[in-house]
Amino acid sequence: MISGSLAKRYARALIQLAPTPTQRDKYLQNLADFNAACKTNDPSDPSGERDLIKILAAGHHTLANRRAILLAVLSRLGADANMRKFLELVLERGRISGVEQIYLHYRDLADEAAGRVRAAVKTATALDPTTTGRIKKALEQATGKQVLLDTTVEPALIGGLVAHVGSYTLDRSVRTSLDKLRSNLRG
Amino acid sequence: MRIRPVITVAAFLTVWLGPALSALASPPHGEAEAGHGAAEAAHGGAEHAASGGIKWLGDGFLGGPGEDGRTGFLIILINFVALMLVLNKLLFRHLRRSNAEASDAIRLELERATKARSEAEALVKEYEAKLVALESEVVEIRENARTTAEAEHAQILADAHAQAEKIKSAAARAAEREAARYRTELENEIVDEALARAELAIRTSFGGADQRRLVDAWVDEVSASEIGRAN
Repeated sequence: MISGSLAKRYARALIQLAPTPTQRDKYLQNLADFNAACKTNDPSDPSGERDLIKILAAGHHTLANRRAILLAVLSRLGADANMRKFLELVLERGRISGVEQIYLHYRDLADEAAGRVRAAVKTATALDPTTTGRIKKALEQATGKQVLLDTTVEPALIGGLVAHVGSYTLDRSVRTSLDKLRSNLRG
Repeated sequence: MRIRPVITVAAFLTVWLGPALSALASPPHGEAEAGHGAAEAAHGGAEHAASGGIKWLGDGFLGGPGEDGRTGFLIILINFVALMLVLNKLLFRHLRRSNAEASDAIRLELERATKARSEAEALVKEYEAKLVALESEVVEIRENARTTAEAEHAQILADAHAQAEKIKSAAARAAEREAARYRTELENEIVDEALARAELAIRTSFGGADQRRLVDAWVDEVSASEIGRAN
C-alpha cells in the first residue's frame, strides 16, 4: 500500500506516456490485467499470503528475481513495452504494493479523459437487458457522459435499486425506505 | 567580735569599780575605831561626823581608796561616767543600732504587710467586680448561644428541607428519565417488530410489477436530474 497522493502521481505520469486514447485504454487494460493477476483470490488463502503482489513486494527476494518474475508475468499478459518499463520502475522504487491504487487512479484519469463514467448498480433481483439499457441510458442522460455499468444482485435490498456514480448515490430500494421509516418512527 | 568589749568592761570593773565597791561594802575604819573606843567617839565627835559623810576624794592614788579603804565619790562618779561612756561606745551604741535596725525592719515589714493588705483588698475588690461582670457576661453568652443555636437550628432545617426538595426533584427526574428510556425502548421494540413484519409482508408480496414500477420511477427521476455537471 502507498499513499493516495503518491499513487495519483504515478497514475498521472503513466497517462502522460499515452499519446492517444487508444494507447491510454491499452495501458488501462494492461494495468487491469496485471492487477487481476496480482491476486489469486484463492479461497484457501483468504489473507492473500500467496498473492503475486506479496512476492513482488517481499524484501527477502532479490530485486533481480522479482524483476524477472514481473517481466515474465507482463510478457504472458502481452503488456506494452512502456507499461513494462513503468512497472519495472515502480518495482525498483519499492512501490509495487500500491499498484492497485495506481490502477484505480489511472482508471479515473483515463475515464475522465475519455468522457466516461463508471456506475455500480445493485438490485434485489437480476436485471433483464432492457431494464439495464434503460438504466444506462438514464444515467448517461443525467451525467452527459458514456456510462460503464456494473450490475450486481443484492437480495437484502428486497426491491428497487441503488446506483453509485462517482461520489453520488441514487437509492430507490425497499431496504433504504424501510430504514428511513424506522428512523422516522424512532424519532 | 562582742567578746572583746565585754573583756574590756570586765577589766575596768575589776581595776576600778571592784575596789570602789569593796570599799563601799566594807565597814569604814572610823566606825571600827568608833566601836573600839566609844570614848574616843566622845572625844572627837566632830572628826567622827566628818568620816561618816560623803568623801569626795579618797586618800589613795588619784583620789582612790586610801588607808581608810574609802574611795572618793568623785572618783566613783568619774568611773561611772567613764563606764557609761565605754558602755555607750561598746554596748549601747550597738544595742541602739541593732534596735534601730530591728525597728526599721519591723517598720518595713509593717509597711510591706500594709501594702500587701491594701493590694489584697484591691484584688478582692477587682475580683468582686469581675465576678459581677462575669455573671452578666454569663447571661450574655447564654443569650448569644441560645440565639446562635436557634439560628443554626433554623438553618439546618432550611438546608434539610432544600436537600429533601432537591433529592425529591432528582428522584422525579430520574424516574422520568427511566420512564422515558423504557418508553423509548418499548417504542423501538414495537417499531422493530412492526418493520420486521412489514418487511416479511413486502418480501412475500413483492413481485416483478413492483420492481418494474420502482425502476421506472428511478429512471424517470434520474433522467430528469443532472449528475456531476458543472453549472
